[in-house]
Amino acid sequence: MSVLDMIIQQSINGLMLGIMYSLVAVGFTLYFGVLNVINFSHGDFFMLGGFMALILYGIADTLGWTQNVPLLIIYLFLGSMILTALIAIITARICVKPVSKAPMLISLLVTLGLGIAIREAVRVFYPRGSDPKGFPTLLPQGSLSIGNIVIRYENVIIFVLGVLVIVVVNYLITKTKMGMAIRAVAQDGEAAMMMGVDLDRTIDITFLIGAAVAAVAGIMNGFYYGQIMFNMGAMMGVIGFSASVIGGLGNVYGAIVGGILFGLLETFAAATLPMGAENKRVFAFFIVILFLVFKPTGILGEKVYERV
Amino acid sequence: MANNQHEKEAFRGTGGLLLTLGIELVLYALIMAIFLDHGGTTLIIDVILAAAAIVYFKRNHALADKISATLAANRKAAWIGVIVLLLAVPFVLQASAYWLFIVITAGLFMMACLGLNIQLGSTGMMNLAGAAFQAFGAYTAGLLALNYGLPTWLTLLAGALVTGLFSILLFIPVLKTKGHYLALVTIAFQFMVVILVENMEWTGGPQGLKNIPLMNFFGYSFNEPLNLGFITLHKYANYYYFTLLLLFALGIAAHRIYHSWVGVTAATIRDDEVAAQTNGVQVNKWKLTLFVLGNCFIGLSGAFYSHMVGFISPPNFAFDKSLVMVSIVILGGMDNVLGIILGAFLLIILPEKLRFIQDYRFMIYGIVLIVMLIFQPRGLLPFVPRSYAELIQRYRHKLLQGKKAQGGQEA
Amino acid sequence: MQKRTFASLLVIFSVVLILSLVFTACGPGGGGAKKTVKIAWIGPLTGGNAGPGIGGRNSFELAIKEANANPNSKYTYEAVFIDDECKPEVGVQAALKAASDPEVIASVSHYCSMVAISTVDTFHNNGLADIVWGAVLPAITYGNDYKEVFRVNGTMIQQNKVHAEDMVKWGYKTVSIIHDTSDYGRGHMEYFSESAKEVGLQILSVQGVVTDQQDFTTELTKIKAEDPDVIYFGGLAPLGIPLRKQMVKLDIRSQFDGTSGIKNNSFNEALGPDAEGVISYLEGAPLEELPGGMKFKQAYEAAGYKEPPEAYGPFAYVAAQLAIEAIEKVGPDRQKVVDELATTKGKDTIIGEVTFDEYGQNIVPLVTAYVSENGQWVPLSQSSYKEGGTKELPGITFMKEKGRR
Repeated sequence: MSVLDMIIQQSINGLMLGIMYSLVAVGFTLYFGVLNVINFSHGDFFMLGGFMALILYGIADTLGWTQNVPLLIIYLFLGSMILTALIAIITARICVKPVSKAPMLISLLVTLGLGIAIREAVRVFYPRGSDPKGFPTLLPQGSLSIGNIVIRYENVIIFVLGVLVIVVVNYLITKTKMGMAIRAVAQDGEAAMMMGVDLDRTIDITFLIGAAVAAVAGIMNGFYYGQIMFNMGAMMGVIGFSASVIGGLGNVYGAIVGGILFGLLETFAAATLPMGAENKRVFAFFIVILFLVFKPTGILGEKVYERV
Repeated sequence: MANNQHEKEAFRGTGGLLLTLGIELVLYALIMAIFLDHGGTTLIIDVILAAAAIVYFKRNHALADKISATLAANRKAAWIGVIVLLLAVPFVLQASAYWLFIVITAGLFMMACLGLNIQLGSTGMMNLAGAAFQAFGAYTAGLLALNYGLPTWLTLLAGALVTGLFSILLFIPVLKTKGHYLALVTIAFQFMVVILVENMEWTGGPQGLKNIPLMNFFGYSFNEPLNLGFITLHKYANYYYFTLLLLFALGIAAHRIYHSWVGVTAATIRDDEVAAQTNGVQVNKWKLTLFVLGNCFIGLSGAFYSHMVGFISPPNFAFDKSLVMVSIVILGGMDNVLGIILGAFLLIILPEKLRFIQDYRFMIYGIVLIVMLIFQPRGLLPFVPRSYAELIQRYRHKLLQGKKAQGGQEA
Repeated sequence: MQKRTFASLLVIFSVVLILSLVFTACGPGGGGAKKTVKIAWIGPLTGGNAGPGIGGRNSFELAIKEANANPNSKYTYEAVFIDDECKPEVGVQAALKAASDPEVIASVSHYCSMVAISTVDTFHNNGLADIVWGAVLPAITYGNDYKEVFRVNGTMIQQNKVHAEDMVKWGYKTVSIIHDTSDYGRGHMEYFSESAKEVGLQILSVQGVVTDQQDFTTELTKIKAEDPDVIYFGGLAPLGIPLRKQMVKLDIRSQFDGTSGIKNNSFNEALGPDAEGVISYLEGAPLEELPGGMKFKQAYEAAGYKEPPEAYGPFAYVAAQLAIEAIEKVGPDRQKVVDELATTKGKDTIIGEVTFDEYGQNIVPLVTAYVSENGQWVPLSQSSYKEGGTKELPGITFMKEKGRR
């Protein structure tokens, strides 16, 4: 393997990692925009998405619906997205919305508490929930080789799906009426309400989109790594938040840029630096701090928010 | 005249004194019974009693006011009572070193949270890297004691100071960011520190530092049982009394800072940084000073821990510990020393007691956190807007007259 | 009016005081002809290592139940379960909790090495026997001369020595190492590297990964370029599973060898066919080969535990048995139990013979290699993968293809 091959191969690895980070980052960006809340439980909705799919797969398996794989995959994605979004909307109504006007510390702690509760609930109520859970292999497993570089079909599918989801979300937000409401609320909630935007409904929709996208990431994560675990959302939450900040909070495309950048940073730190594998997060977080200090609006951020 | 009225509100004389001490004793007995009870019955009874008391006093404002007035009138006796009762804790928990240890642990959290409160509560600076700063203190003390055999008083001091020095590392980020961004900076810092400590050789790597000398002050070893002549207390009694001493000292220091012009400066920065700047407050200087000072407190608690347990390793200083610290400050009530004590009690001692629900413990912890914050978003003991309260206290007489003249009601 | 409120407050106060005293005095227990003796069990019941923790707890409880069912027992035994969450800080509290209850005569403690190492002082200071049932860091027994500390399972030194020697036997020459950065993973890496050098294996690279990592494609891509005969993984199942999965996906066909941390059911369950041919080393004799082993398996199933005992369950079971036997013999006295345990020599148990050396370490005569075959961990010597067996380890096939063998 030449150096160039290695760079390309590692870039593919970084992109895969990055696209999942991006999907989680989208949620952070949306919630921040609409509610001005950093929802730290978001990583756990990513985890919940994976577990919902696993439960749905279990049901399908006992009913014998597993012959038609493409249909099964669609069923898993849609089912998990709906269920996860439902839980997100309910919890948002109960715990996130009441504190969105409170000081940011309160909302931060409440969402952290929510994350703990969700994580532990999965661990306690899912049968033997503290063990890692195998995820069914449903995506095609072959690969194509270009020279020395191996690209797996699965990777292509996951990447394309990830990009597609982000494009759809962006379309929803920029081109539809619903999206207009979200953007209006993001800019000025009270003014939007005066113009007849239903604030509660807008918040529900925001959480629906955010959680559904996180669920997609959770399922993709399951397919890609073949395993999900109850505590995988905690770190994902921190990384997703970091990615959304690097990209620019409030900007959907920023989330994709931030996520992929974070993925690439980790990958190349691990591949090239001495002792890189164990210290790659140190490197990645260091870059995050640099960004916050020197370009707090992020790569694609538009304007400075003075919202403290 | 106002003074008279104040007197009237309270139970007077011996009755008042007895009531004051009685209330303290009841609370004390209720709390100690939680420790001594092997099961959770007392805890459940306590919770029911507390709920009943809250409901009762909400309906009977007059009685509540009377009691608090009585307490205020017997301030000195109340303090002496509290001190005596606190000194008695090792005697009560003689049979249960475990709970004494837990109480000390809670004390160390209080120590750290006093520091955190200076940053978070008084100045409004987010710090989600409390555990990382504690690691600086703990590792500094541990390494100095292990490698150079320095005496405990010096390593404790060094632990606090070095933590302060290292927090200057975050100098630029702390000044240049705020709100959510500062939160993220500190989270990132927290993760960096733990990963680095785990991967470096000279910090002992993942195995941490072992056999750190236990506390020893000028030949008096804390590792021996505390012999008082008539009774021999468990060795943790040494640590308990020392924690108590430090907490009193730091508590008074924090109190003094809070009531000095430094505290007022901090409050102006917290409430409106721009306004503070335009009014000539050196925002950057004070933000940094208070950030470093707070971290010194946190570092001291870490150094103390390493000398008490004799063993530290990276997982001791993980992110969730930072969260617990912040939760204590917020749940107890920001910018309120009493709140911190209550918060530490609720978040350190109660979960320990909740071990009997085993599996569901953390889930319930999360839910309780949410419920408390939703219903008491300003903490259990929300801080009183300070200057006005003080002014009212000081000029109560005049104010009352003025208000009466306007036909207003006393707040 | 004033007097009445005051009086009622006093009444409330005294009622509460009496109530709390009553509840304190009447703890559980009491009654019965036999004296009740408590034995503590400490291990992870929550968090990511709760799986093996619960297996250990069940096995421990089984031993207690069996002792209580035995009419010849002199005492009634009561199990005290304390969760250490696999965190050192919580572990110290847990050990202290056990130690400060005077009725607790011995403690069967800890699955996680970093917790076990942090609590030895506590046990020593309180004179309470600490029988480690799962942690494998050598320093737990060898890093001190505390006579209270015993360990029924082996250490990573023994495990890795045998492992490295076996690799040479199979004809492997080059190894790439991945380990987690906890002391479990790093310790394994260090002891394995040492043994590997002694027997002449060539180590191509060593990469550490943090314990909450999921993505190993970067590390594996590097390894793929190195093209080793074996990938050695020092770490637990939550990392081992995605690592193995990604290895298969990246079409790396080198042999995958793990440590005791992956020898549990969740590894096979989560990986399915991808687990086939993976090797793991565990101290002690395989259960199936010992007469008591099958009995344990049946008794465990008969007791109706939902969760499997996992790799270290039998060790917890044996630790409990040793503690009970010592108490039966010398009575419920901490000091005497410690002294009695120290004399354990050549005792027949379901994990093989147990003999404690002067450090309290069980000198396990045996380290067993297991292979994952058809979704089960099978002792390598009994599997179809054994030398001359019907199947061939993936690593051997791979080497033959490459013409290295």
